[in-house]
Amino acid sequence: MDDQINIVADLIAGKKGAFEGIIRQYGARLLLKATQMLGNTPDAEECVQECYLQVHRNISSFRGEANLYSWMYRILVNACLKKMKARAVNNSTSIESLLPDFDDNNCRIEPNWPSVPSAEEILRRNHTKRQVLAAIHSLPDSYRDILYLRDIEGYNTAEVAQMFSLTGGAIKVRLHRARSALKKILEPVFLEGLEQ
Amino acid sequence: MIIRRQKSQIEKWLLKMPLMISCRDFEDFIIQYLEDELPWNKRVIFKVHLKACKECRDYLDAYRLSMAATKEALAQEELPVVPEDLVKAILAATRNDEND
Repeated sequence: MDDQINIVADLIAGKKGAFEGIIRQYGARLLLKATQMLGNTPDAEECVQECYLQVHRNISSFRGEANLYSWMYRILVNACLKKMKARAVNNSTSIESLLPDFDDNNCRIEPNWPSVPSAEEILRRNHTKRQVLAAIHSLPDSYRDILYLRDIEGYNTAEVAQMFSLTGGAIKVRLHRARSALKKILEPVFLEGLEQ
Repeated sequence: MIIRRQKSQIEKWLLKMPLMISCRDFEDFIIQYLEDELPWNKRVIFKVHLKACKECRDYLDAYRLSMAATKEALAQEELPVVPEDLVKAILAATRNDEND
């Protein structure tokens, strides 16, 4: 805690090297998170830069309720959401074809699963991790980011709803659609190597 | 294919029984079930369907698997190296900001 107070005090006092210090300390983690949210490095770097600029401008308003990294991470998420809204191109991608299939009797059409493997088992296979990461990035922006913030970063529905200016119900619908779509994209990967 | 069609017919017939729902209705319950938000009576209906329908059981297992695999794959990603150009660009941007 004292370390954090010292860092913040140095930043507010404009001590030489203090700002560079927090770039080197937290930059890699922030860059990874931004890349995971946005799906490409140039946009992620731009958001990390914007995040640090906001930190520089607002450090004196940091009150220490959260730790410094969490505070910076929240600023980064806002920068990423702003970027995502601005680029908007990927938002038009339809998710409909990736939703579950039903027949005329509303009965589910599902591949024949001899057994469903565990996540550890799946990720031990060659190239699977890369395929899983590619699947996440192939989701439309607004679905991927809701899934990312809820399922990976652990924000609750109300917090995500506030970030997206949507109702909690709308967030849950998108979250379920994102998970369903991801499941369908990954089906061939999961089924590979299972005895039929 | 014939077996699938027969199963679908049986499920249509089963839907006339109490506490039975279609796979499509089951789909609408999933998110609330996972969020632990289903009222007790709907939870029973959900579970009855889950026990009776292999497709929905497999679907839910694979749905959970994709959630777990996603979380695991992202957690295993290595930290990138922050490019020196980016460090310099951030420092330059903050200096410009001070001068404005």
